[in-house]
Amino acid sequence: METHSYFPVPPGVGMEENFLSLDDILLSHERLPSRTECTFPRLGFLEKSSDSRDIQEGTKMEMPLFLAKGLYERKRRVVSVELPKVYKEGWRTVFNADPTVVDLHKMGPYYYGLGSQLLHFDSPENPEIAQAVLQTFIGRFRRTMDSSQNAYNEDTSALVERLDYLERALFRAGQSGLNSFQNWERGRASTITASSLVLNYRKRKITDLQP
Amino acid sequence: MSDTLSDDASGGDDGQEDVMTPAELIGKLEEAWLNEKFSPELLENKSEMGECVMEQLTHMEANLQRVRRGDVKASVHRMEIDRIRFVLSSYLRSRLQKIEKFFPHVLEKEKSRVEGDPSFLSPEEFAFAKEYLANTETYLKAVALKHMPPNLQTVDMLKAVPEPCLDSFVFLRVRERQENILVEPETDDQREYVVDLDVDSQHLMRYRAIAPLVSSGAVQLI
Repeated sequence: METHSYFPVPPGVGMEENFLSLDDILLSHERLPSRTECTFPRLGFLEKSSDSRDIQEGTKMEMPLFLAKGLYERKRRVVSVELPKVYKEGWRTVFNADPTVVDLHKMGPYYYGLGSQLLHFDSPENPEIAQAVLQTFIGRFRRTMDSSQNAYNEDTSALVERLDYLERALFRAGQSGLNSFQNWERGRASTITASSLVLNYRKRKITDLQP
Repeated sequence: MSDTLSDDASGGDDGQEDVMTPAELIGKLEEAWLNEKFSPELLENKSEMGECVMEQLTHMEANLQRVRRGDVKASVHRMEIDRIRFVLSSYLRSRLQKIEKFFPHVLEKEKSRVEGDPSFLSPEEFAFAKEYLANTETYLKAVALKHMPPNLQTVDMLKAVPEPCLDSFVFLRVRERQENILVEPETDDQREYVVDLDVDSQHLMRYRAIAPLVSSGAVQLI
């Protein structure tokens, strides 16, 4: 098990977003196609395609997730959010057919996170979106787990490039477990090595001076 | 090993109401250590047990000083002392990790507990948690919050820091027979059902279903 000197806050599970998690903060930058339901006076600079001074009602624009979540209300006076095409009917059937061949990194590197956050927007297709995200994860998990546990000391970029960030975190966890186990088998588990924080900080001046 | 241990440290039991042999004390320490390591939330504080163990350790070290050098038994006893010390410090370390991870919720639980209940934090841990909270708030304020518009300058720590996930799965071994443990459904298609736990059987269940049993000692997390 890795022992860190600090504990980074993990991304939230399901529909939760952790306030202090860097992964969730980066996730909330993803853009969603949305449509404004009322005018936003003097905010025309946000939308580059038209140069009016304010945003008219009914403009279609791309909003980042944090903005859309903050402005969304159930009575839908302000914005209405459309689903990105990866979560629509067409792509859902593709994921149903065979989840393992899809390049999830290209589909938005935060496929699972964004899919879970979309459930906040009360679209009528919510149960199907949830099911599709879940089934995709179940379908792809086995391959991720196998590849992370059996790729020792080799270049894993080909395995990792089609995974989204959640799967990459799982892959890294599997790899670190595998490496720790191999170290333990070779009896190198109790050798003290320099901490990565110290090495990166580059304060090892005495060893540099030694011939 | 345990009977030579009790020979050397026979005087260490005084000062407790229920007399426990040192072997039993070490057994209880190991159980508390395993439970604390594998449970997702902070368990009850066992500080009096920690103090008894520290007493035992100092007693054993004093005994070892009197033994002549080069005796094989001395090095074996020394190893035993080191192992017990590691278990104790690992127990305290995992408690501190959980306090750091869940600090607002720990403090909230401590504030809202009824007067007669056993405390979750020792006085030192409580002071540590409060200092940690104060330091984190000062840090966030100094780094980011004071540059924000005035009505956004507070961060609610209870909402910002994630809660301990009580639904994580844990392995457990049953020590006392339990009946009718209710297991909640996980997805909408499942129904809730009841299980009976037999002695010495091992299970993998959600922590939420067996949380009260862990604190009462009826199951042991492994």
